Amino acid sequence: LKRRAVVTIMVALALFGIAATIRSGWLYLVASAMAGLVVVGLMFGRRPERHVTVQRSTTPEVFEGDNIQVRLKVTNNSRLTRSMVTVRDLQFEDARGGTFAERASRSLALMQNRWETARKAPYGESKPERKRPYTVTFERIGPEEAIEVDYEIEARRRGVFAGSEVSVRTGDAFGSISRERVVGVASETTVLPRVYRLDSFTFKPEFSALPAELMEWSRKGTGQDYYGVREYVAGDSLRHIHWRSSARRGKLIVKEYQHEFRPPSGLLVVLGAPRYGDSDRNTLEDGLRAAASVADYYTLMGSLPGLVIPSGEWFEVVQGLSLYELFRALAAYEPAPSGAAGPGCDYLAEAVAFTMSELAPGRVTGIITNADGEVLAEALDRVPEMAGGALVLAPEESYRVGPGWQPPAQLLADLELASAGYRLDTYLLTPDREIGDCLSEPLITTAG
Amino acid sequence: LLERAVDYYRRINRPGHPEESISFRAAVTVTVLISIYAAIESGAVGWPVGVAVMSGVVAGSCYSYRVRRKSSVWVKLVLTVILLVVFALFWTEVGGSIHDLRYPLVRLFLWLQVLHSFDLPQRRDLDFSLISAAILIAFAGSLSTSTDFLWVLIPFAALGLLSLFLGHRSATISRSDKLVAGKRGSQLRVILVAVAALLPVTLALFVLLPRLPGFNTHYLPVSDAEYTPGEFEGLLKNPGYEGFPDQFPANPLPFNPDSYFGFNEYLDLRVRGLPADTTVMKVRSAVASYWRATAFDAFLGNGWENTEKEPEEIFSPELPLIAAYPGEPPRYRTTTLTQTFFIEKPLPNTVFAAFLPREVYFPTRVVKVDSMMTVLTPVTLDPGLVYTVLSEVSNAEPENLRRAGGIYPGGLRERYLQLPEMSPEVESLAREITAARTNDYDKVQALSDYLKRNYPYDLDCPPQGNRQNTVEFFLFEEKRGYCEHFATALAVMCRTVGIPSRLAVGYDAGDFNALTGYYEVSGRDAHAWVEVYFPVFGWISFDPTPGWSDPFLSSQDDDTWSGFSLLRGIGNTLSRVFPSGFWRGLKGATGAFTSAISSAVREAARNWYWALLAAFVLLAGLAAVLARRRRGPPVQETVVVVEGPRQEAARIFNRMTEALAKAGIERRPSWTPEEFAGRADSRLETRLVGESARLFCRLRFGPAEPGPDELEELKERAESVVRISRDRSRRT
Repeated sequence: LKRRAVVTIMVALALFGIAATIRSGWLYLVASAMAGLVVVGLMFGRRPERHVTVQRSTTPEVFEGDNIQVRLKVTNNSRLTRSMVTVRDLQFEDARGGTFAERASRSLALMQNRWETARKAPYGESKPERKRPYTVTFERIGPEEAIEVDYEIEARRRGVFAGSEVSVRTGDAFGSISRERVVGVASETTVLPRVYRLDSFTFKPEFSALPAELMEWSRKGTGQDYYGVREYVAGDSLRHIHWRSSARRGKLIVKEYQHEFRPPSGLLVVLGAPRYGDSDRNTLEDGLRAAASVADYYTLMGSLPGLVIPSGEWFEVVQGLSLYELFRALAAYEPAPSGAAGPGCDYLAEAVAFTMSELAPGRVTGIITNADGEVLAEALDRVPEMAGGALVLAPEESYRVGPGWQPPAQLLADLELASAGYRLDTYLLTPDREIGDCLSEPLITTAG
Repeated sequence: LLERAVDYYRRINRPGHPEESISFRAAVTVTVLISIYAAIESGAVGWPVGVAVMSGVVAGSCYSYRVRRKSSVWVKLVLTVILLVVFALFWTEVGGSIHDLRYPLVRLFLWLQVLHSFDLPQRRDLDFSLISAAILIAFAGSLSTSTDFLWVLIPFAALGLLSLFLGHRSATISRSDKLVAGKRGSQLRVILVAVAALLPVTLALFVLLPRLPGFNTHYLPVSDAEYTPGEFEGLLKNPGYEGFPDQFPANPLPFNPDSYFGFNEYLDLRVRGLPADTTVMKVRSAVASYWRATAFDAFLGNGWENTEKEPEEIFSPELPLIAAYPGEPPRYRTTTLTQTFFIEKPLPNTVFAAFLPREVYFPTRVVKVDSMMTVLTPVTLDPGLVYTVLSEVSNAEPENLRRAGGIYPGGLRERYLQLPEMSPEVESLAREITAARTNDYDKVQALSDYLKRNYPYDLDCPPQGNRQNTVEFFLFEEKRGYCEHFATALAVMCRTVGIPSRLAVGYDAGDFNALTGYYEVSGRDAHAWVEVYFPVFGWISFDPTPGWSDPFLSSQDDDTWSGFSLLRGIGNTLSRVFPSGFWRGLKGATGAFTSAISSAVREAARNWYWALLAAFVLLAGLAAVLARRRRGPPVQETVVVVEGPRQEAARIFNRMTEALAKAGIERRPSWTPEEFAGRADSRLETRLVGESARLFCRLRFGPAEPGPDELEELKERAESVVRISRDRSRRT
């Protein structure tokens, strides 16, 4: 029942009471007509949306903030005409459903947000339009009719979306009743993290390009010179499978390269689930944008970095043939296991150690994390072989406080401690600045 | 603090999202104008004020559209101040007219419409205007006593529904980023379908809505103009029989169809004629009753006379006038019934009301009451007069009356057992009928039943002799008659067996008009009945005329389900279109249907626990049916006796069909396997179903017996389809 129906029923009840008191037939009639309006609404708006099906197809890959092309096909499978069918595209919308407590908590947060927005709004301006899902209204869909619509929506959130949801809403002709059904639609979209083009960033080539002959070869080479083929073993990329040889031999064979080499730079991304901020600006999302931007910068400098990201309780190395593969890995990034204060000291230390062991010692050139400053200092302290590079920290506290936050002395001391001896330039991510600005000027610069 | 308060006021009055739809605004304005017109038509305000209000609404609506994007804080402030003044005026007016709040309320809503029309920036403001207009027209309707109000209500409903539709459409479109417009005229079809559904639903709700008792004690309308008597004789004056003597005439009175001849100081039973079928008054009452005008104590043989010529004067400087007579015996088991009378034709100077009128709200300061509780007014009742009476209506049960006994007030028996000389056969007959009865109530009922059973009602009864005894003429000579004959016969027979009785005249309840809520009393509803005295319980009315029931019993029925009478009205209206035979049949059918439904509902209300149980069983059955429908038709379990490879192929295909049905792709019986497969393939965007269907048809119906390899192939394909179907089910 919509507000209009509730008001109609209340007025009808009041008129009924008055009609009983003064025994007026006309009052009974008007009260009946008003109640009848709602009853008819219930009859017509009961479940008209159930025979409406929706298919959706989208651009497969897009950067966060760019527009996605969407094609919506709405079909009325019933024998009756459907009018005023509203379809809302719920991709990138906030969480729905859940327990009563979760929903109540979300509603409370939304009300607080609205109140804050209203309170801060200057006088004379119209009330701001709420950000709402892209909505298409079909005035009429005939029986067995299918209508296609193209539109664009902004890719508001990073991620790999195997499917999405759309809501189909219909109701009666007079706006008393509306019924909404949320349906899942299969449409694969990968939204890559937003990349900020960096003009300058810490890139120390002296930590890169060790002679290849000094390295113990991995089977997972990415060199360009074809050497031969070999049997597949677990961990080999499927991209390297030599299908013709596999077919001939009846087992999987992969291509092997003569000059395999490891990437000259590495990027460790350890970002736990964010605790503050909103769904768009928080330490996790900003950290991933920073990671994508740094990877872009390294590539621009001629060094496609190896990427180390959490994988369950452990880590995985992403060594792509192109920068886009790194972006895809970042798009699919799942938060690192973390405690109340972010990723723990042990986990962080293991991540750094793993990175060094997998990408060869001395190759860690970038760490991006939202761990606590003190935890970070202690974790780095456990890894004496740390070679140096850049440390990008997204402090949760800055997202809690918001604009005007200044790094406390203790954090600065911790960062000094963390970077001392490792030649790490330290950058801070804060919500009041663009990511590009945050990464253009280090907070702490180490000598050399 | 002031600065903060002003700032807060400005913040809460920031302009919202304005309503841009001109068609919606125009429809709302026209709807409001119709409601104002209805208020004018009902007499709540005069035309000059009404036209001013209409102009104000139109001007306000135009102004609101122009400034819809602005905050208009100062306009809101001014409107708030005016609104406070209007409320103050309203409460002042309410204080002066506590008996009928409708007029102040209508005027208040008129003011609200004008003021509100200057502040309609958003959709919700226009919605409020619609609601306000609905309330206004409802109150205007309550002031209307005519069915003609329907001609105002129909355009109001049409425009109101159009407004709601346009508002809903505008809201939906404004919330949309993209609109895929339908064909021209498709929206009109949607409205028409909805209206076609709304009409029967409204009618059903109107009929089924119980007419609850409500709080009718403070609703006591009275005409404004006060009647000040110049000369108040205390005699009943009938405007249709002016110039005739106040004594019983030697020759029959000439018949006047516009006025009932019984509303005089006497009732001349020699008069013959049919009164005109025009509405004489409308009555608003919770219960149907007889609207009594006067009564007669002395039977003259060919007529009745009221022997009491000097009634008591009742004076009160303010209303109500309490009708009481010195020495009036106390009555027990009574209930109060409020009735309001709206006079439409000139009537005699008596207060028509259910017996016994007690509190009279009449626009005068003096009335006269006789011992038979006939309340006389100083002037005759003119069209347009409105008055209200609170009556003490007996709610004694037959069992109470059977046990009634005790002392009669002094002189009562002598006065109400008086009889002229007449044939002893009347008394013999009465004693014969009541021989087996042991109490007065059963005796009266036996006499009444005897008359109803043995004497037909006939308005074409020939004239009696000028001095002939009417009872003898009716009982033994003509053996047919109309209400005066039946009532006279019963009253006289009661007197012959020693039961005090008298004759009362007035109007019966009339036809209840469910639309207006009034009993519409016609000149042909003029009626005569009998009042019989029972110690402790007072005078109780009986009606021996065939087709009528005893008023004291019918007055105990409430009109909770009187909405059903609308069906009878509709039947009557429709039947006029058809030939008279069909007319009678239809009238009878609708009457029977109405009575049946009404009785069923009344019985259900009385035996509510059985009704509750029946409703529960009905709802449970309905829920079971709905649940069954929701689950879909039961899956037909195909019992296939595996006798060979052909049956095996059928089994495989059935399994595939069931899986598709679970995914929402059901096979209709009319579809061949390949037709069904074609539809399924288009839904699943595959070719597998078609291939499976073709293979199935070849294996199942082909000339050669299918081999195991072919069956295996069918099985593989069918399983692929099953997998795809399951995936689809999971996705959706």
